[in-house]
Amino acid sequence: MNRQRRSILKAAFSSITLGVALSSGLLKPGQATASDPWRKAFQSKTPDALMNTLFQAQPAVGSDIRIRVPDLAENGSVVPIEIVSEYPNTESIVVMVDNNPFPLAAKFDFHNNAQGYVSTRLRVAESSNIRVIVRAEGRVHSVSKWLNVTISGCDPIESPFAPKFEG
Amino acid sequence: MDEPMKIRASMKGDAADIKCLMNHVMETGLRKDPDTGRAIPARHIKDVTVTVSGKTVLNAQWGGGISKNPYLAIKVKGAKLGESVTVSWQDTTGETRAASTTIG
Repeated sequence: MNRQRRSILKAAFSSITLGVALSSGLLKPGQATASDPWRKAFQSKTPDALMNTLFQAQPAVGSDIRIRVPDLAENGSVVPIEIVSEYPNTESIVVMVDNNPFPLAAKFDFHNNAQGYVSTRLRVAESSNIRVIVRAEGRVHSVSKWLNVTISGCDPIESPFAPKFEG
Repeated sequence: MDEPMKIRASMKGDAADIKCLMNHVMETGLRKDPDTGRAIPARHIKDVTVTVSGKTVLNAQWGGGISKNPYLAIKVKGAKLGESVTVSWQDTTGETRAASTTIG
């Protein structure tokens, strides 16, 4: 195929896809760029390097962040975690599992009166510090909690005893 | 990914509790196929959006560190009975799903 025609078609397809994604609200402009440091951060393997790139200053140790995880997680594939930030106007909560192959697990950005609260389930490779970083009113606070894991979240066997969702 | 997402949204005081159970394998890319010994490629949800009456209340970015069949619960202050809640996700292959409910 004519090289020029090919590159025009290629550009047209990618802008259509981007257009669809943008208009469907799934992709927010700014999230789409490959240079977004958060996108790359999910591939990072070292928690300290992550902390340095994502948070310019060392976050202050937060006293108003509560992390609820089991004292002992039998199955690292499914570890329930509940995070409550008591900081007013919490903008985001970031969760890192320091000893995971890819420590950055999740980033939650809150808008329009969503509270600084999130509950989810993590995959944890081995006993590790669970690090939570909260941004509220422009300031960054961090807290860690140690989690013990019996069966690695990286094992191929999925536990049949994973907590069930109770509607 | 075949079963639809389950969403429950209910009022607790002046905030809506929104709970969701998504259906996704959340493959980390680190698991090896026991037959071939090759790594199973990563395939996991990377973006989640929750809206209430069309306004975005949550944007989440996930890596492989979220469990298979992800559970997510958030709280939205000032939401009202009867408002619509939509949860949508996009995974690393570009696959998307969405589901809606009303705050009951």
